[in-house]
Amino acid sequence: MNNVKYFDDSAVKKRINARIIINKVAKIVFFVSTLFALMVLAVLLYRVIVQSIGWLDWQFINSKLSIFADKAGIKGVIAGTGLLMLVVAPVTMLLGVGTAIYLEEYAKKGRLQSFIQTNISNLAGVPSVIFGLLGLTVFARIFNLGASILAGGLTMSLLVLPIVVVASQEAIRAVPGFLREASYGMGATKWQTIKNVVLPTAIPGILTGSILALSRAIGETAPLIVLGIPALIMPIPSSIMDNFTALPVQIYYWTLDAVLVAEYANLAAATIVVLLLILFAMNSVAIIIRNKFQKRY
Amino acid sequence: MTTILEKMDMSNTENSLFETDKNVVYDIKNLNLWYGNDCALKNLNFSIKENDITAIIGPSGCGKSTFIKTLNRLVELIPTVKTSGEILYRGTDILSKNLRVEELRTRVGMVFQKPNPFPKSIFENVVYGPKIHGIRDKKQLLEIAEMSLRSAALWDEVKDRLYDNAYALSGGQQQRLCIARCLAVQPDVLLMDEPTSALDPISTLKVEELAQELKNNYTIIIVTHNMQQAARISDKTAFFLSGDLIEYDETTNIFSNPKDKRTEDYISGRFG
Amino acid sequence: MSDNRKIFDKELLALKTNLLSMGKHVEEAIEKSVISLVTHDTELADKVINHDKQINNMQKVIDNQVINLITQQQPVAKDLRKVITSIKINASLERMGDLAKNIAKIANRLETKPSEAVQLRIKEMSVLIQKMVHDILHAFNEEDEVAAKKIAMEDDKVDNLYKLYLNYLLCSVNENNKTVEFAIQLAFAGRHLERIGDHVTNIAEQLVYLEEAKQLNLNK
Repeated sequence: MNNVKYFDDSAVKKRINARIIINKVAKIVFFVSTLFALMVLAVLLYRVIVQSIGWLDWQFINSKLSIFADKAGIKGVIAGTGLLMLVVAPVTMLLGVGTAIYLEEYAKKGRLQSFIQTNISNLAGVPSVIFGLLGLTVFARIFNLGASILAGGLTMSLLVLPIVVVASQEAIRAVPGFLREASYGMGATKWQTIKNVVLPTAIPGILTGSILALSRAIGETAPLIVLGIPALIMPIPSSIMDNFTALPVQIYYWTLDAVLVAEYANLAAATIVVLLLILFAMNSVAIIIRNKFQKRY
Repeated sequence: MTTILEKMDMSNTENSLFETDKNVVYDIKNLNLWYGNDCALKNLNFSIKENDITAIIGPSGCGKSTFIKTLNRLVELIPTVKTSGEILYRGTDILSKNLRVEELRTRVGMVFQKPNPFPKSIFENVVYGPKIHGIRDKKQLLEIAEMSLRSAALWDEVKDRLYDNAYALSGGQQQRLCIARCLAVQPDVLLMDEPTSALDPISTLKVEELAQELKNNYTIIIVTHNMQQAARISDKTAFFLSGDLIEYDETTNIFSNPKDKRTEDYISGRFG
Repeated sequence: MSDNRKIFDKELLALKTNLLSMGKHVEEAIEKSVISLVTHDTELADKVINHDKQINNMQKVIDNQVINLITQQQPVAKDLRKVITSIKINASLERMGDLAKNIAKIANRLETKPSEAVQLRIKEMSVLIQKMVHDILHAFNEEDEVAAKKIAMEDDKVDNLYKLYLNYLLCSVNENNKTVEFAIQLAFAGRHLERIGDHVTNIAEQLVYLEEAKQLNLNK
């Protein structure tokens, strides 16, 4: 047994004050960074909310568009965004989850699989404007869908697809191997295992990812503008083949035209608040779903 | 395509070196297995008898888990696995490409080291097997569930909470649930891969007792690193070392007077 | 092989050492008891009788050692056989010690030395017995089962000597009661010696079992 003490009390005492101070400083630095981000958010919110006071009321939400600022409402716009999501949600979920299942469960790990994986991740980095061009060329013109909700929906689906794929892949990957083993061990086929064990267990992650994807889709403006979605006065859309306007587009055009009619700025602000509230609600749902299923294991 | 259920020869009395009162369930011939370029199982030759509890013992990395997973072809979930040789399950070579593994795994069930019930209710766990094989009738499923849970000595503890989440059960109960789940498809063989390693001593003894009751109706093969367990419950014991089968004999012989010095050193703890 | 079971091996060694030590005491007791009988040395006889308590204590200590080993170490295979044979050898040695004590008691009971002829015959038997005891303890130390088998065969000689001894005693007896009583005690002494030989054979059987895991009967 060695009686030499390599590590003695005086050495500890010497450094301990400096270490404690550095520890405190680190905590302050991180807090200040957070504070900075919060402050930016606060300033933005403040400006928008102040501008929307007096303009955001039930009449605003329930009226149709009009060139007269005090009569204008976003009923049609909300309907447009709603129907748009009705297209985006199923398309992006089916395509996204299907891709994720293929990549995680069926594809052999190798060069082809890495190639596909890389390209899907790269898709997420493509500027949203490009998706607008894609939609314009393929959906609006070649498929002859024009500036309909269907065209807009398909374009947005492709934009947010990588989010759903990646989130679903993570959720599927997180399903423990021993659950799959148990299923195969009893003579289940691969599809039976996916359907009965993997997917049900991965649903919370998939849902969370999908909701986040939808939140992104609701707020994207550039693709819709390139696609040719206007902010004109038009009938409230009732089917996916109809023309439409979406919330972010409406905000864009009102902000542009605020040079001409000052009140448009207030309308824009009010619409921004509505959009933010919807986003907040969607994200809350995502968090609730995640927390509820977190406790399972 | 050959199906096991059609070709199965239930009264197979193949020639073997042991007392021939019991049928041979598994006849392993020249079995080799590689993970990529590493040989994990080296030229195994032996047979397993019906209604025996056969224990597989050996130090870590000796190939015992790999071996037991070849018996229901679950080992091929690992992508780089290659095998050669034959494993005859009641006369049919289960390593052949024509084999429908889903059928094999209905006849040969498996219980794992860490209890792994699905995140579903107790009832849904037990009837998972019957359901994937197409049984839908609710009444029938309930009967199967009760029969399996009784066989696994778990019925009394869960009969009033069949629809509770399986994770609410204790570790020992979860493992017995996994056993019930296997029994629900009325298998022929039960493979157990270190089934009590993760359990407390009382649950361990309950599972051991259960195995000894079940052996009257099933053939049980159990991998264990607990030598006292192997000595307590098994009829035959196989000692593996680095992928080789060193000795295979009646358990009482292995533990009182083994023929190979390596076996003696391992079981008396001087090795490993 | 690794030293995974250092403590267990140490304890097995301690067990063996204790048994050998007990064996030495028993050897001594046999030697002294015969001397006390043949020379009618009652003081020596008393020493032997008292010493037997020590031998009995050693047996208890060894028995406890064995129980602890089984409880704590769960021995299997050869280790288990070592432990089991230790119990049996322990019992045999203790009985041998008792027999020596009995011989010493007979030495006290007799009023004189036995005749020269009787002395000779007793010495003949005891030399053989003592060699057997010494050799079996050596074989135990070496775990030599081949030697053990050979030693067991010597017991035939002991049996023969004992038969001759008894015959001589019978012949030399006349109707005088004292002489008859004398002869009977001497006969018992011879019997005790012969029994010691049987116990040595028992120990030899244990040594064979230890090595071959087979139970043999080397006593005829």
